[in-house]
Amino acid sequence: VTADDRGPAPGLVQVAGVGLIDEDSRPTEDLNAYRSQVRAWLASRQPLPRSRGQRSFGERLARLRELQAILWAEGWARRGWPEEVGGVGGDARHRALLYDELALAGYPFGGVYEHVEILAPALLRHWSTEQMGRFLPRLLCGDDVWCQGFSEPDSGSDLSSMRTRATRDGEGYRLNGRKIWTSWAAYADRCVVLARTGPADERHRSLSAFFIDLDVPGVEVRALRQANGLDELAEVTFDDVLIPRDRLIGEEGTGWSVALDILSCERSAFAWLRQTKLYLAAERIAAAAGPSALDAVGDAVLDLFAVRTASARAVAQLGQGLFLGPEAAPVKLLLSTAEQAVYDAAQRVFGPDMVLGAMEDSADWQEEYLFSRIVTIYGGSRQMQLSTVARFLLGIASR
Amino acid sequence: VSIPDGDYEELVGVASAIFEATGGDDALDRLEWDPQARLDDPEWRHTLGAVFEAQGMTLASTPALNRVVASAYGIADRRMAVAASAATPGIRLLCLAETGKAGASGAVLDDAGSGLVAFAAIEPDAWPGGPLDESVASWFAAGDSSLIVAGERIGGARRLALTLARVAVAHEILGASGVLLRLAVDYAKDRKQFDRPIGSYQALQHLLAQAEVERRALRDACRATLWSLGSPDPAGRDNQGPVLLKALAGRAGRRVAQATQQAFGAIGFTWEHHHHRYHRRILTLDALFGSVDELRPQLAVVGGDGRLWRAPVL
Repeated sequence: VTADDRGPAPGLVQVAGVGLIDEDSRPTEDLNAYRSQVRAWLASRQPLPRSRGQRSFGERLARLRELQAILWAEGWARRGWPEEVGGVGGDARHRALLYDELALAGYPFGGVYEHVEILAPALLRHWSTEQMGRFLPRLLCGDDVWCQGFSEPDSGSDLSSMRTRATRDGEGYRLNGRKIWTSWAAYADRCVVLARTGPADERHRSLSAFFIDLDVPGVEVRALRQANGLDELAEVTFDDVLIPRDRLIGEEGTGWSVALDILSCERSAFAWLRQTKLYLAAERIAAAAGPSALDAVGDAVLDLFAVRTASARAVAQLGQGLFLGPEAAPVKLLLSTAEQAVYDAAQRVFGPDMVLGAMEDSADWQEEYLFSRIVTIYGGSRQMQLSTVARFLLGIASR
Repeated sequence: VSIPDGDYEELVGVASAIFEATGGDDALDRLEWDPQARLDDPEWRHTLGAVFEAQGMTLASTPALNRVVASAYGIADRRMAVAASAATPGIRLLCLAETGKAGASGAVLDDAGSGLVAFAAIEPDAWPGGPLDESVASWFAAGDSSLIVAGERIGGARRLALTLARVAVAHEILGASGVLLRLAVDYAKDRKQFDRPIGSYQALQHLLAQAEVERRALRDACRATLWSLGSPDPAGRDNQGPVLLKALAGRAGRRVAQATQQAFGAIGFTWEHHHHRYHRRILTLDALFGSVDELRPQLAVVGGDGRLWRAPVL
C-alpha cells in the first residue's frame, strides 16, 4: 500500500526526543533471561515447520501458519501481547527478540508476523477492549490471516483520494468499491479496509476504518501474479457488502489516524522483522563473495547495521506505546535501501549464474531479488517518504 | 543509573557551551570525565559521546581525542601519534591535536610491528602538506625512539583505544553533519530562485531529506553503540559495533557533506562559507582509525560460525 503523507496528521504522537537513550528501555535482566529461554526452547524443539523450499506462496503460508500455531500453543508468541488478547504481558521488544532468535535458528521472519506487526499494534490502540479480545487472538494464534485494504486503482500515493465508500444502513454500513495490490488478500480471512464515510472533498477527514470478513456475500478477491512470480497481491471488490456496526474501528471519521498508526508500524517496527531475514541472506552472500564483491557486500552490511539500530529504537518506542508517525519514514527508507543493497550484492556475487538459473538455489535468489525491487514502493513510496522527511522532520514546505 | 535522552541532549548542550566559551581544552575535565575507562557507567559513556558530538558541532580543536586514546594505553599525559611515514631524512608522525603543547615534547606511537614506541623529540613538519583539517591531527618530524611496551602486552589497550577512538570520532562526525544539515535547511528556506525558496523544489527537498536519513541513521547507531560499550567485553572481538559505527559515520558524513554542498550552490564552495570547514573535519575524521573505504571489505566477512555480527540492540 501507499499513503498520502501530505495531509495533516491527526492523532500523531509527537515523540521527538523521547527515549533515545533511556536506559530503562534497554535490555533488562528480564529480556536477557527471556532470550536464553527462547534459545533453549528452539534448540530442543527443532525442527519446526519451514517455509523455504515451497514454490507456491499458498504452501509457504500454510507452513508459516503451522509455525505460528506452535509458537502460540507453546506460549512463545503470547509474550509481548496484553492478557486481553490472549497474551502474557511484555511488549514489542519481547516480540522483536523472538523474531531475531527464530531467524538465527533458521526460521526467517516467522512469516505471518509481518502482518501481525503491521496491524495488531495499531488495532490495539483503536479497538475497544471487547473488540480486541474478540478478534485479535485469532490473528495472533494463526487461525486467521488478515490483510490491509488501503490502495485503490486510482489512489496509490494519493491515498486520501480513495473512492471506496461505506454508507450507513440501519445499524451498520454498506461497502462498495475496489482495493488493489492488497498483500495476502487471496489467502486472508479478514481485511482492515479504509473507506469514505463522508464528503469526498473532505479527503482524509471523511475516512473510516472497518474490519471486514472476506467470506461474506459481495466480496470478490482476484489474486494478482507479481513480477517475481508469486501471488501475494490481490484485487478485492466490495459489492454492497454489509458491515455490522461493531466492525467500525475507532469512531466514524477517524480512519486516517488508524491508517497512520498502521503505516507507522509498516514503516518502522516491521523493518526489524525484515532485517532479521535480510541478515540471513547477507550471510549467504558474504560467504560466497570474492574479493571484487567485498565492497558491495560491505555496503549492504552497513545498511543492515543502520536499519537494525534504527528499527530497534522504533521497537523500544512501540514498547512504550509510542507510534513514530513521520519519524517512521527514515526507518522505512533505511529498510528499502538495505533490502535492495543486499540483493544488489547477491547479483554482484552470484553474477549471471543467478539470473540464468545455474545455481542450485537460483530460483530463490531470483524471486527474492525481484521482490526487493518493490520495497521502495510498498508502505509509501521512497518519494513519499522523502517528502515526509522534508516536510515534517526538516520543516521545508513545498510552497 | 537512568539517563533519558533529554539528559543526553542537555549534556551535548553543556559541552557545546564549554567549547564555545573556552575553546574546550578542558571539556572532558569540566564534565568530570574519568580518564580511567569506566565503560560500565552510563554517565561516563554519555559524556564521551556528548563531548565529541559537541566538538563536531562547534569545530573546536581540543586535546579530547588525544586524551581518550592516550588514556586507553594508560599514559594520559602523553601525545599520541596515529600514523607514521618514512621521510627523507627520518620519520614523520601524524599526531593528534594536543593544544598548548605543540611540538613541545615527544610523542608515543602504537607501532603494529613492535609495540608502544616513544619518540623523544618532535618538531612541526608540514611538508609536503598536512591533513585537510590540521586542528584534528598534524605532522611532526621525529627523532630517536625507544620501545616502551612490547606489542604482545598491549593487545587489550590497543583494542580499547581503537574502540573508544572510533566511537568518539563517529560522534564528532555526527555533530558536524547535524550542523551542516541545519545550515543547509535554513539556507533552502531562505534562498530564492525563480521567486521561490529553493527548498520548495522537490529535487532539493529529496536531496536534503536523504541526507537527513543518513544523519538519523548515524545518530541511532551512535546511541546504540555508546550503550553497547557497557557490555562485559566492549573492546573484545565479539563487539564489532565500533568498527561498523566508524564506517557508517565516514559514509554518512561524506554523503551529508556532499548533499549540503549541493544545496548551498556556489556559495558553499567559497572559503568564507563554513561548509568547507565541516567538510574538511569530516574527511579528516573519516581518514583516522579506519576510513569507510578501508573498513568496508572487512565488514563483508562472516565469522567462523558463518554469521555476520548483529548489534545487540534489544
